Parts: sequence; C-alpha cells; structure tokens
Amino acid sequence: MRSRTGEDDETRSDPAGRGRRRPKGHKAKDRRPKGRKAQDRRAKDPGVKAHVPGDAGPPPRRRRPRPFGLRTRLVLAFLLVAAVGCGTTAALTYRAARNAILEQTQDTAVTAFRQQVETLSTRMPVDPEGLRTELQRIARLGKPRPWRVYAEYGRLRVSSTDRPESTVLTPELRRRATAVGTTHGSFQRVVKNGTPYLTIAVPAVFSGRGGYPASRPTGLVVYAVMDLGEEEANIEAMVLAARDGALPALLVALFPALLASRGVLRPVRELRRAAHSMGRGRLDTRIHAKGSDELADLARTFNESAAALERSVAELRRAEARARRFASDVSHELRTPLAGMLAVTEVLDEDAGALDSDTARAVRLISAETGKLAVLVEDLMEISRFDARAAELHTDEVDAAEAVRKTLINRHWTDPQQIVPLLTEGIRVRLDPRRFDVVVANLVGNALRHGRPPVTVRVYAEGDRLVTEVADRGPGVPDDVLPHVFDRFYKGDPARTRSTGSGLGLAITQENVRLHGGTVDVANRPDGGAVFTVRIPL
Amino acid sequence: MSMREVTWIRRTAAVLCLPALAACGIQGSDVVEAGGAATVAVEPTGGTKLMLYFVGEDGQLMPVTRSLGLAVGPSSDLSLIDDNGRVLVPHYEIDGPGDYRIATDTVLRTLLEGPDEEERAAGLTTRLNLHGAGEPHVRREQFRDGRPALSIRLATRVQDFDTVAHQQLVCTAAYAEGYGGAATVLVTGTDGALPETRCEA
Repeated sequence: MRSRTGEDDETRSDPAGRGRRRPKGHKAKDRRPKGRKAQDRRAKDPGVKAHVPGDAGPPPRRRRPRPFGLRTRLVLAFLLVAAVGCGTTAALTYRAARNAILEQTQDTAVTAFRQQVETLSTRMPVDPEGLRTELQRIARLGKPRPWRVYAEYGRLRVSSTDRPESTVLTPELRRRATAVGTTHGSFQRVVKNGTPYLTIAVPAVFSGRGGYPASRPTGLVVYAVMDLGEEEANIEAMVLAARDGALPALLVALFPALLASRGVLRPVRELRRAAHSMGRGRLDTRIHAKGSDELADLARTFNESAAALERSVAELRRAEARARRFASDVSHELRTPLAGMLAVTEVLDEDAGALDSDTARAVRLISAETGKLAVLVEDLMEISRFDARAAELHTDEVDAAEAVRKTLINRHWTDPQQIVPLLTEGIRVRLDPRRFDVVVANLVGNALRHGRPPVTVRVYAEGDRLVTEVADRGPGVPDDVLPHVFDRFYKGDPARTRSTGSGLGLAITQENVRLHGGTVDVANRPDGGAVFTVRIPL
Repeated sequence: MSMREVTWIRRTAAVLCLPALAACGIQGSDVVEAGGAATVAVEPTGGTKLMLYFVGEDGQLMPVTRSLGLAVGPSSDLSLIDDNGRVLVPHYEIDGPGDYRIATDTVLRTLLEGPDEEERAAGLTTRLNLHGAGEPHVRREQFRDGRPALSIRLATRVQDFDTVAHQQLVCTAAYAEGYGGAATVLVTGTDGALPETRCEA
C-alpha cells in the first residue's frame, strides 16, 4: 500500500538491513517525498480531474436549485427590465395612439357636424316637421359615421330618430350649450351602459343674412350623438397588439437572461469546484481563465494563488524529505562501522576475563553501549522507514496466542514470576508476524523496564478486533505523561536522562499497529499499573 | 434576495403597470369647448318681417321672427316709414332705398301683444303683461359717445319691470331700429324712467 517500488521496500524492510544498500544517488532519488497523504500523490497525477468524488473529505455538494440564487435573480432582473420597458413603451404608445384616434374622430365629427348644421334654414320658432326632415338629412351625412341628431328650442324637442330626446346627453353639456352668450360648440365623451359615445352640442346663431343680427344666439341648439364602438374596437385591438407584442418580448428577454446568468455562473461553479479540489489537496488545480471580465480576473488570481501555494507546499515537502533522508542516511552510515565495532566488542568481551579488572569493566561498558547504539540505530532506521512510508506489511494468517507465545519464548520471558500470559487459543488473524512480534516485545519489554512484575499479557477477541493487553503492577504512568507516551524520545522523568531503551520503542509500536489499521492506547488501572491495549482488526 | 426586496419589486411592478391597465378603453370626459357656433339661415330672409324677443322656459331671451307677407298694405294697421320718418304708406316706414322696415312703434305694439299660438307651443312667454297700456312711442335720440340712443315712452308703470321684461323691450326696439345690440335704450313710464341699458341677448 505504501510504496510502488517493491525492490526498494525490500531493502528497507530488511530487519538486518545489511549489505544491500543501493548507490546513494539512486537511493536519494527513490526517497523523493512520496507525499504524506494519499491525496498528495493523486494531486501529482495529471490524469486526475479536479472534480472526482474522493475517499477523503465530504463529496462536493451537488448543485441544488436555489430559490433566490444568482441565476434566479439575474433572470428576474432581466424580466423585470424587459417587462417595465415593454409595459412602459406599450402604455405610452397605446395612450398616444388612443388619444390620436379619439382626437381625430372628435375633430372630424365636430367640424363635420358644424358644417352640416350651418346648412340648416329655419324659422323662429322652429317648425318641428320641417326641422325633423333636415335633421334626418344631417344624420345621414354624419362623419365618420352617421349621427343621431337632436334639436332643442324652448320646449320643442326634435330629433332624427323616433325618440325626441337622447338619454346620453348630459345636463352639463346642455347647460354649457344653452348658457347666456354661448357662441361656441362643445363635445363630451360619455360612457353609457358600457358603450362609449361622442356627444356634440352646437348652438345655432344668426348668420346675419336677411338683416338679422349676425352671431346672435337664435335659441336653437343642435346635438349629435355618435357611437364610438368602432374606435373602442380599434383601441382594444391596440391593447391586444401591445400585449401580444410584450409577451414574446418577455420570452425573448429570457434568453439573454439565461445567457448572462450562464456566463456568470459557469466561472463561479468552476471556481467552487477548483476551491473544493484545492481543499482536498490537489494543489495543481487550475481554472481555465478566458476573457477579460472581473470573473476572469478572479480566476487568474485564483490560479496565481494556487501556483504560489503549490510552490510553498512543494518547498515544505522537499525540506521535510531532506530532513527525513538525513536521519535515514545517518542511520545507514552508522550501521556499517557499528557492525564492525560489535564484532570487535564481542571478541573483547570474551577476552575480558583475562584483563585486569578496571580494563575489563571498561571493555564491558564499551561492549554494552555499543550494543545499545546498534539497537538505537536499528530503531532509527525503522522509524525513518515509517516516516518515508516505506514500511510494508507482509501479512500471514497466524494463531494469535501462538504468535505471542513465540515472542515471549524468543525473548526468554518465560519466568511465571515475571510474565503471566492469559492467551485465548484459536484466534486466527491476518497480520505481519514480524511486526506483531515487535509490538508485543516492545510493550512487554517496556512493562518490564518501567513497571513492576508480574506483567500480564492477555490476548482475546472483542467484536471484530484482536485485543492484546499488556499490564504491569508498577506505579502507572503519570497523568501529564500519558498523552506523550508514544512520542519519540519522550522522557517521562526529565531527571532520568539515561534510559535502558532507545526512546523509540513505543513510537515504533504505534507505527506498526497503525500499519495494521489498529489502535494502541495506554491507561492506568485503578489498582495500579499501566495497561497498554492494542486493537487490530481481525 | 430577501423577501423585502421581492415585496418591493412586486410593488414597483404593480405601480408601473397600474396606469397602463387603468387607462384601457375609452373613458368619459368633461365637456370640451370645440370651435364656434353654427350660423344658420333664419327665415324669412326678405319681405315684411319683424323680430321680437320673448322668454324661454329657463327665463332666457328667445328671438322669434314673424313674416307679415302680403298682409302689409293700406288696409293694414301697420305703417312703413323711411329714414327721415316720412310715412310712405300709413303705418309703414321705408328703410333705405328699395328697402323698408316696419315702424318700431308697431313692432313694440306687436311685442306687447305677446307670443302667438305657435310660439306658445314652443314654450315661449312674455313678461310684459301691459294690456291697455296704449301705443308705445319710440323716439331716436342724439348719438351719445358714438352710440345710437333710443327712448321708449310707455303709458304705464315701468318701475316694477324685471330685468327680463326690460330686456325684451330694449332688444326688440334696438333690433327694430336696426342698431342691434349697440343702442342704449331709455325706457320711461308714468312713474319715471328705468336706467339706460343695452340689449344683452
């Protein structure tokens, strides 16, 4: 899982680690930062698209319809502008056209009516029968359409129709037409029972012919009533036309609205995806920035920031890799001379009996310290393999109780005063036997070193987990130390500068357990002593 | 977009649409003055005619024309005079060469007789109920301030005449003398004179 170059891993995971080193250049190349996290590697892969549902982090939120999202607002704004524009234009056009139609009709009618009235010839008082014939003649000649004509003189009422008086004429019009001294015509639009009418009143004055006083009122007033139904139909047709014109205009406005919202939303969506992708570690995410608008500027800025971020992260990773490689290289470099020293100290140890006591003590001290140094170097190499993600699991199906027992026997921890194994038999589990051996050995060794015997080693299954518990009878771990027990080189007691362990044992244990996908916890028992609990999935 | 904005937009749209909707169709209007009155030919246009002012139903002065036709003659009680007051035919006056008019005294007497049957049918009345008042006498006065002036003498009380009755006399006399509305007329009765006035019809 952790590495792609099997050969290199074999070299690293070789517990002895002797003799099979690669040339430095090659090694350095292989130990390029592999990325601390799986996503990092994926980010380097150019084939991976920005938007891929990954296993890390929540999947990006799907686009859901927003009641008042940008698109809705843009479309509404466009439609509103279009509606206002269409409506205002239609209303103004309509009003102007309606007024023009009405004015033309009114002017035509009033002028024509006055002309017709001026053809009248009458006695004073009027002769009803004669006048009636005249009025009927005038009514037929009505413009733009035939009128109904009414005449009033004193009490006399004469009309071109079968009814002497019109119900459409308003008292207001009558009053204006018959007022003392009136010498002008007037008209009024009246809506009666939903039908619009044009009513015209023209007072008759003396023409001056025959010695009569010119322009003096004769007392005769002639009225015309004209149905404006045709004009209303025309005006209604205009309203329909305005509506029929405005609705398609609104529909047409929908297209630029959607186009504009798309132009805005697409870059925004792209930006969101890219930001999400960046958040998940794909620092090479870039946006296709085209055009010269503000959104393109934003995209370019995003790209620049992403590039800068990618550069700094790469720089950090390189620095981290250099530090890791340095620790690994140092360990490797120390191993060869140490191997020689170990061989020499073994020989010296054997011959120590022949030396004088001071020299023998010194020789034994050197031998012991060299052994510790060798362990430290091995642990350092192990830890650096974990850091480089080069550690590999070689799983095998084993009997858990058998594996623990083997570990105890191999380490000669067989004294029942020291070790109490409580092993549930028959639990089959897939694990890396070598690493499991290291975990158990480290925990038991740690318990023997820092706690007090007897150390209880318990193995049992709990749900789908294999639980390995190592408990001692010592004073337990101080509370302030508990969170740091698995830290590297952490000294529980600052005064105790010299330790029998390398200071890496528990850290290596934790890394091994994690490699198995398990957890390791430490706690203090109520009746004293520390308990280390390892849980590994079955 | 908050709900307040939505409400605001709706209100704006409603306000903008309102005039367009409200102004649909043809509305009624006030009375609008348009052009002058119509001039009509009034009969009779020639011959012996006279114009009297009676009163309409609303109390306004209404002119009536009467044609005397062939009834005019020596046997008639009308007289024709010329401009110098020379009587051509008894009771007739000649008004200029080839034309003549009925003596204003005769016209006023006719006025005092009131509307005839046809005129009454049209709703005309008179406010001059002066039966037995005798022959009114009209005299041309001097022009004053460039205006013609007439004086009418009646053998009756005039102080209780109302304005309309006064105007009936004034207008009928002024038009009969051919001065139209220009002449100032002084009406005098047995109880004094009414204020000088002109025809306002």
